[in-house]
Amino acid sequence: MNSPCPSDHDRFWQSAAELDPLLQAHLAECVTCHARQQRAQLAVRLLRALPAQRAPLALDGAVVAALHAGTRQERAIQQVSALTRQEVPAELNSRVEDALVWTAEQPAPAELEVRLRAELAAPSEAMSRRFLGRLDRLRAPQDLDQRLTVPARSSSRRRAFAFVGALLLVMGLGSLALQRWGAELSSSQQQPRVAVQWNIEVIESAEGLDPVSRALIGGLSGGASEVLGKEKL
Amino acid sequence: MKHLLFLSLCVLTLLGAGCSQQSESQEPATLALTSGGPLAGFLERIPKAPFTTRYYARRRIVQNHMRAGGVPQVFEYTERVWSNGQGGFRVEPEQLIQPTLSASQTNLFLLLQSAREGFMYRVRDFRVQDLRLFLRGYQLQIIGSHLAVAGQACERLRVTSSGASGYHELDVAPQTGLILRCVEFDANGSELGRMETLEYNSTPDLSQVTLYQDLPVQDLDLANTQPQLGFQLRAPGFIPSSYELVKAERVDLANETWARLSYTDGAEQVFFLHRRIGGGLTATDPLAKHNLRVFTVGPWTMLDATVNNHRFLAAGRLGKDQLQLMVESAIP
Repeated sequence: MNSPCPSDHDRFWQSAAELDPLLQAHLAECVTCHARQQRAQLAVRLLRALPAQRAPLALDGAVVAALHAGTRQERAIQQVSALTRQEVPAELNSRVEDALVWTAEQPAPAELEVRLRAELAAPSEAMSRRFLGRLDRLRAPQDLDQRLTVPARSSSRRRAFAFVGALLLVMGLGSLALQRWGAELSSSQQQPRVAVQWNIEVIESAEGLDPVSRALIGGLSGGASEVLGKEKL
Repeated sequence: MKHLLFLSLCVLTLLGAGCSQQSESQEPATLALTSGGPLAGFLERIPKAPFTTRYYARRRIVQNHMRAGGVPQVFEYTERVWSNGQGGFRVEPEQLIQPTLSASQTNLFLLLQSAREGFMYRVRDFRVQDLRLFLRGYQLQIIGSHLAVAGQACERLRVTSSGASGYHELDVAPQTGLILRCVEFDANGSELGRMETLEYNSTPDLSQVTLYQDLPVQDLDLANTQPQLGFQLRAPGFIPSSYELVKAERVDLANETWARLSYTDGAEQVFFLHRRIGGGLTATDPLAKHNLRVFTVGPWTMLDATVNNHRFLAAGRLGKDQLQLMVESAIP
């Protein structure tokens, strides 16, 4: 059997004018509830009679500190860390598994494997090769073409001059190419002295970064690192 | 003998051309945008304008990204910005428009945006960081005049980097040097992203605005970093082409002491951070631990390298290879 007394005693803190008519009628009949309500009203009066206390001076400082950008950032990071991972639907799991199985069955071309291994072994060399491939091929002056195609009637002395000149031109072009390559590579670079064999890990989500890295890339990308790939499906 | 002399001259001329290419730069005076020109001091005002102009603006930020498989993805939000014209500023994210996230993710995004307001105000948008380097590495062209952005008259500049295939169009208020609209295009003229001012007020009420408080930063004495950092800085020997070191600082991030080196080509910035987390590392030490974590989002790359007791971070709008070379060149 249900008790006719209200279970939400919070309403007893309300003033008599705020109580709804049904409750007022119940209080008039129920001694227990009436006593409870009287005690609550007494507590309200006593609390209101207490002198107002000033907030401690240290509170101002604590509020300013809590609003400081660094503290806000730390709180944000704590919030991120505290987020619980959502369970994905079983159907999605099975689809991903199917896709992974399919992917695993597709062998990468042997050429790719060789190239990847070479690039990982010496990334600096691989990069230099790529830059060299981008250099523009320079054409020799037309004058040189004409002189090199002069028939054999030219004297041996002329041929010698042409050969020396061509050699100098090739050296000059080579020097120019090297300068351009050098400029492309860097203005003041010093090639790394240590050939480091890295254990490379590609991070898919900003959540995999530590707070410092995450804040850095977040600021650079204007927040894109935090949002892209997270949209509702 | 005349042939030899002629060919030698050819070679020398070619060598000369190769040498002079690096030293080419645009002088501000030739652009008629600086003192004496029709828009006196225009270019000089741009680098400092965000900090010397008192204003309020509501801005829209759009980035057009491409997911794996060629699926386009748009990232778009609005924000409000206040500057007191004396170095103080505030950036308040307003609304995430795209992509659609859950309410909690959206709130978290806005909270994080607010937390990194300082970095975003200084670094996120394309702007002139160093005028000398900017004029050396970028080509400028005025392509429009008296255009209106949020009610402000602007000059439209097309900025093309010597080393990149795309370009930027900047709408700049000539009186202040403030960039009110910036659109980035790829080589084909497709838009990659934009920042545009939707509302502008040159006399804002800042009495209720809490300005950004900078994190504690110390300028580093690169000649001897030990006393300030507690360790000897390993600075990169390799610096990407056209970039120069513009700032060296000690910063305390997440209760860790870091050395932060900032490089710029005049507009884009690259950051290199180093921290020692234990004993030293010399050239003869075996490399016991050498992990390289790579994170890429759009054109930005972040490298987090651990070599023995050293941690290096390198981040910027560059590819992995360039940043990796920076890190490797800092290892003893």
